[in-house]
Amino acid sequence: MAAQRKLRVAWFSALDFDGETRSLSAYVSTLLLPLLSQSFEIELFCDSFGRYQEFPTHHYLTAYKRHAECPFDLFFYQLEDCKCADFVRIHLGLIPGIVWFHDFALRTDGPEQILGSPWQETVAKFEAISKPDSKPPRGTEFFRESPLALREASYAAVALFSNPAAHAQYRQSVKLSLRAADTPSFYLPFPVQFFGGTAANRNGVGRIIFCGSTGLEGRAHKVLEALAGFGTGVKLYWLLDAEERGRAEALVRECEASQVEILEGRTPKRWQSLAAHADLAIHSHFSVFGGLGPYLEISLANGVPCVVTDRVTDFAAADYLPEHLVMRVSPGRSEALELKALLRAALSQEICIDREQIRSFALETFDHRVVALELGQVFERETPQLKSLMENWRLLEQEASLALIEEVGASSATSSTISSANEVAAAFDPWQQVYQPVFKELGWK
Amino acid sequence: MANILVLGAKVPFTRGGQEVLVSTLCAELKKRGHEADTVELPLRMLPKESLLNQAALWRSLDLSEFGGKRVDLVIATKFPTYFAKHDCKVLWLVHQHRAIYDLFGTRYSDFSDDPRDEALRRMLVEADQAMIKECRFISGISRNVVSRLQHYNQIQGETLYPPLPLGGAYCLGESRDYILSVARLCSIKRIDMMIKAMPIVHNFVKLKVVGTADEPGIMAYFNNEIDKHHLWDRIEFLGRVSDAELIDLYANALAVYYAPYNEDYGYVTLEAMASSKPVITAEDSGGVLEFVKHEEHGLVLAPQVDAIGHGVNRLVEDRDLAERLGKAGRRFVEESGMAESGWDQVINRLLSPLKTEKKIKEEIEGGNEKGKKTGKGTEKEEKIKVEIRGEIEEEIEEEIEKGRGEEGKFKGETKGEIEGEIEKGKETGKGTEKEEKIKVEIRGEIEGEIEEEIEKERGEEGKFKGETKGEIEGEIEKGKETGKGTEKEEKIKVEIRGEIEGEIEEEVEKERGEEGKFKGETKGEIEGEIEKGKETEKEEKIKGGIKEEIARGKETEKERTY
Repeated sequence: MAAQRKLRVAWFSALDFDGETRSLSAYVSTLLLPLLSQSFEIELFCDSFGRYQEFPTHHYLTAYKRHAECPFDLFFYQLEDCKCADFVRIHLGLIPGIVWFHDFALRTDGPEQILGSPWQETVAKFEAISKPDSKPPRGTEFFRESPLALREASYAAVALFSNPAAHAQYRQSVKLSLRAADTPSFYLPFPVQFFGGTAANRNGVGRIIFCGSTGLEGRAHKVLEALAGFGTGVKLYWLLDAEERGRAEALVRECEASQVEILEGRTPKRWQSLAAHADLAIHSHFSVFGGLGPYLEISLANGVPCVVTDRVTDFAAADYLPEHLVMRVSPGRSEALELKALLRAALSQEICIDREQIRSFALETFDHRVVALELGQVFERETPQLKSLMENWRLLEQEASLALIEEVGASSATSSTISSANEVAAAFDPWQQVYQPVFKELGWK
Repeated sequence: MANILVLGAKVPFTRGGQEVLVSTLCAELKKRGHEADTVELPLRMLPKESLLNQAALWRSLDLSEFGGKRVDLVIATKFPTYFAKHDCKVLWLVHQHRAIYDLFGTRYSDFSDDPRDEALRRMLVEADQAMIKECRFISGISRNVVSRLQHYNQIQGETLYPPLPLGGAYCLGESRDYILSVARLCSIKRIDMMIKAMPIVHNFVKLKVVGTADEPGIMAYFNNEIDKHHLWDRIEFLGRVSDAELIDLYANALAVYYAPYNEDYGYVTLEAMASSKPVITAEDSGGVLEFVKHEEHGLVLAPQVDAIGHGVNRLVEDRDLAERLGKAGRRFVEESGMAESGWDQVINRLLSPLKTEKKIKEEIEGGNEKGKKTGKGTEKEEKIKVEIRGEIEEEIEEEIEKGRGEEGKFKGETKGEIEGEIEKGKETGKGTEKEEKIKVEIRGEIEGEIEEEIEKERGEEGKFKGETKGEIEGEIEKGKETGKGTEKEEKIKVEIRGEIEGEIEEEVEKERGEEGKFKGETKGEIEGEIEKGKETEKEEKIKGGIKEEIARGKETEKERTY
């Protein structure tokens, strides 16, 4: 029996070339690529020219050429709210595919390229591909109407979300897509690599870790307020980006919090080293933008008891977690008080926190092997549907090509308004006699 | 001496680096005794679909001869001039159409994800690839340009920096209180960043801007910024100035601001340095950074208004620093030979295909006259030869580099021997004798082998074995549609390529010998061998092969040319 050919996957993602990435996509790629490459033939596409480990790595603008040379079965994208993923946002409009959204609300309009993107027209045209007479007019200006990644979602043949809240938002808000009502969408959590050993219950709460930003959405001001009065028995390790250090120090001074150590280099790798020795983690977040992953998942994987922000309508990032596994604090006026009370209870062991139970849940849900398996199943299950979608997309591309040549030809032909007493000049058609032979030679059709 | 055309794509009413390069190159060629002239067609960027027509227009030109004078070589410079068709086309690339490459995804590109835009982009990229590969010699005006070609088109090229247009005329004057900007007035040159930084800069410092606008609305934008910050007395737009005025402006500036986005090369950088002025530039200014090192020849700053403003102030407040940076820049220009003497190197390299052709011609002229009159050869042959020749050039260069070894020299050679050879190379303009020897021999052998392979495939009846005429024509048609050639052609090319790779390796190694240098050779012995070389087996094989082909009445590229 002949060996089945591995599916070929074009993998678009920011990549971790230097081992110190903050990018969520790069973190996910680092964990999943070695596993998925056992079952799939993967080629990487990114916005640079280096080679990533042993994987064939290309610049994303060469993807169509690579696809023509050796066709891919599917295109896979990871999207996050970060400049490093701008190229993903661009390429989604060039060749659609499976998209894993790590963020669904995006703070920027994106690369200039897509500011005027006629994506609604393109999707509408795709749906009407069998009606060759439908030619949407060009020249309309398109604007981003909301922070949600509606354009990107419309090009997602399959939409995956690393956060259930984002998944819910997608289901409510995305109406226009290539597969219309049939677009499959799933929650797929951030993967975490487990490092063995059982999570031991420790006595007392000493080391508290926190990686929220200094902005209001990170709730750092509430955390610092809650810590006031705890004395020396508690220390907060605050991991953040280097550029936030100044603001963080100012906030610490303002809140008069003395038990704080500020650490630079907010990366999943760094967080893992902190979580391995932490007694409690605070994952507060109150914003439509951004999320908690994979830092929350890493904390849970290390059996660290976590405090999260309680349900806020529509965008609670940790809402999906079972009640007995995390402690919740309501955002707002009483937030600092609630947090302080929770910390006291945890310190005095009034709250019984089973770290092993936390770790087991995380192992079952977030283990990178499990996530890789699920992603692989999505690839295999969706490939047949994607094949017909890609075939239709190819027709769309061909139509566009033809339309372009027609437009160029029409503008190059002799204008009928030019009158000429000279028969030779009147008979000269630049399109026929000059351009068309060259177009043919160059294969422009 | 040769008849040479320099091809330029000009935007009327503007004069930028490309225009200067084309005119200066032409003048320098004439100085060296060549018949040189420019061919320029106007270039318009909008509507972007018209780029196809403009490229096609270049392709349709017949540049083979004018007024009875055969054109020996054409030098293409920027998109879409390299679409021109010529037997001996070389490329000194200023830039491609960057909106579809490095500027794609930025505010400087007008290509969106509209399927028609994407279709246009792909057509242009594919055509660029094919047209550039036709060139006998491929180079770019800076490492930045060459690496773009490598990254986006997988084409290797050589870096040939353009020497300064005004040669040694640049000089140092005073250090008056103005910052000079010299550039076309368009968004990518980011003069707006300097204008916006002026409120931060000390009040007594002015900004003088040389250049004309070539982007719609740009002056309105600048004037709006000037109005907003009340800078009317501090900013002066000088438009286009004469060479003498420009030299004077450089000479007396405090510093020169040049911080475009990912610049190709930037004459302005070197002009400033030649005038002993520090350069204020940005971390993402591309080609500028090949010359300007931070706090060595200027200031390399974050591409932000604040950073630029404070950087200028630093030079205003510390004139010694400005002077030190300026002097270092001047030293750099003098030591690198960018002022005047760089043109010898550039022109020798650009004209190098002519020298190869000349040697081949000499060999053929030693053979049968009849060969010259036989006709053109089939499309298949021509297509294969053009493609393989381009690849061979690259492979030869790679082999030379491999031959150099890790320490940058041929194994076993002493530094003194190499320097001696390089000195000799400079005088001849050919590179070292060893390199030339290897290149000529391998090139000649390969030409012969290509012909032999094609002929073997053809079989005795002059066609691919077993094919009828109809089948062959069908394959040619298919070949034209795909742009790739028929399966057989592809197969031949792949096989030959593989063989050539191996043969080149063998040849170079054979020549080297066990000790990593030409066997037991002293300088005298090498010279003796070179003399003897005219009678070696390899050359006999080449000559014999060519004579046979001529006798068979088939015309090779060499025959048709000469």
